[in-house]
Amino acid sequence: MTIVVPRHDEFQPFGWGLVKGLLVTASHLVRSYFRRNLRIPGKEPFPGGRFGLFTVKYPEERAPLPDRYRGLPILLYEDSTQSELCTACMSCARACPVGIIHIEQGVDEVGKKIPYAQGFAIEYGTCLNCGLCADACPFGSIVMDHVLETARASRDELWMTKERLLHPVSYYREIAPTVWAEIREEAMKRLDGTVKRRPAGVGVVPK
Amino acid sequence: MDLLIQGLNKLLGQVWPDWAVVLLAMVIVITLIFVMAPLTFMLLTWVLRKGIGRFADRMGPNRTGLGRFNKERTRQRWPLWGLLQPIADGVKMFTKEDITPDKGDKWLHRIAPVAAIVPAMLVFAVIPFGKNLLGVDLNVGVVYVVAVSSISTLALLIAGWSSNNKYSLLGAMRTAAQMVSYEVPMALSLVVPVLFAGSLSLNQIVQGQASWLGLRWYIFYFPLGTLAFFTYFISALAEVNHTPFDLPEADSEIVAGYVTEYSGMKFALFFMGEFMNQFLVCAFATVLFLGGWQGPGVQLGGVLGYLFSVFWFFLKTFSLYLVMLWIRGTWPRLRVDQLMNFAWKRLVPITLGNVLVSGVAVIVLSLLKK
Repeated sequence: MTIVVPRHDEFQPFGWGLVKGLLVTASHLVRSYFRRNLRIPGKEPFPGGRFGLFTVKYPEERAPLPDRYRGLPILLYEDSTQSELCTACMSCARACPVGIIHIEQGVDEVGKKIPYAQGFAIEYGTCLNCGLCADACPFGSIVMDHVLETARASRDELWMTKERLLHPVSYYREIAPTVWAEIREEAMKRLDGTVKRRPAGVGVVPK
Repeated sequence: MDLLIQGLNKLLGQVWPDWAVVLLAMVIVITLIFVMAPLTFMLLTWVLRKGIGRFADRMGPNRTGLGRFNKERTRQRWPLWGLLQPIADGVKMFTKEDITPDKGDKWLHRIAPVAAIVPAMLVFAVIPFGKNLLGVDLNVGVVYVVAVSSISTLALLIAGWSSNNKYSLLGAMRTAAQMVSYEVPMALSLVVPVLFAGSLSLNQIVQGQASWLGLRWYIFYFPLGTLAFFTYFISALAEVNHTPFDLPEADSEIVAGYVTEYSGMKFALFFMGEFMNQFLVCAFATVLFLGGWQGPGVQLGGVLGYLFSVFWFFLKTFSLYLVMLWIRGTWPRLRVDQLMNFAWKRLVPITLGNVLVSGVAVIVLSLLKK
């Protein structure tokens, strides 16, 4: 199949091409006062075609982000039982290309390892936002957040410990419904197994 | 000016000596011009940024407003459409470092920005902004405007030379070539309204367009006046280095042309000169071709007539400025050879012919009237 690309390079006598150009920009000017043209994830790229304002007044208005937008990684816990999804399997730490995920596996009284992360920290300052940790996680525990403002007042605050990384599942379901729908079943099934292998009261986020 | 002197005499009760009243009137007029010129500059930068933004489907500046911020510090009480942006720009410009090139000619480098705005300020003196509202009613106003406004070419040449930078020098040389070329068709197209009005005084030219309720503009003298307007506007665009003739500061080719080595307020002064020149080109076209301050309502007596005349003048001038913005938001830049070809092979013959035909037409019409 031959695709013919219109070049619009035919001769335009008496400056007619210039006038046509002026008309194009004039219609952009007029329509920018009546129409917004924002990308909505899942819809066609630009619903309003070539016309309308493409920009937003950022802090008070935000363009919607696509579900698979990769912000910084966060950890999830189940809403009703408050139990963490993470089992300290180290998949994410191994997948991380810059090695900024630090996990300390939990142990019970006799020193036996249990599926629970005693300590969990991510160095946000070095994160590449590559999303490999989220891809590697078999439990759907580590996912990519949609937060854009990541500036901190000091370097220490970029050392994100478990308490600050943990978010409820309902939060992630809200910001990325399609991604959560894909991993939900597997994650919930595995969470049931994890909870059974944990001693009672371990791996529960305090309210 | 005379009007102002009369008014002052009435106000002060004929007590002051004549020379003191004249001096006072001069000071008032000069102050007005010196305040108005930067104000127009500020307003034009705002209009430019808003307008070009809309042409490119953006919003333009909208963050500088008045009043308190909300709790999240994202929005002010009165955003004012970013109308205070020029003030923020000015503060920024004043706080920037002022750099003078080490190997450059320091004195010329310092003088150039001043030389760039002075001609623009001088032209403000003779433009009639409203009914009898002009600094000086020169009987050779048109010649004065053409002569004075071409001094700014010298300033750009000084700037380019003193910077000791190849981009600056290239930009300055381009400017000189371009301005010398386009001065010819510009001056020639100005001859046409002068022939129609039979006077070189700007006030007389405006008075000549008074009939038909102040709508008998020289642009409507088809085809001579219309053609002269278009040739004037095109060559005026080239005179003020506006798109599509912005070769002297073509940023994609020669960094920023003659302003490459300038920073801080000196840089801003160049832009002030440029914006004021753009405004004056629009104002001059309004005076010569669009009836100046003439329009419905100016025949009214008292303050109302004056207000109407000022309103019409600024409406026309700003509409023309919007056309310039429109062009700036649309057209690409010409090549140097195209620029020269267009000036010497197209515009000069057209304007020369136009002057010839207009002269014949004016004589024939005056003979027919007798």
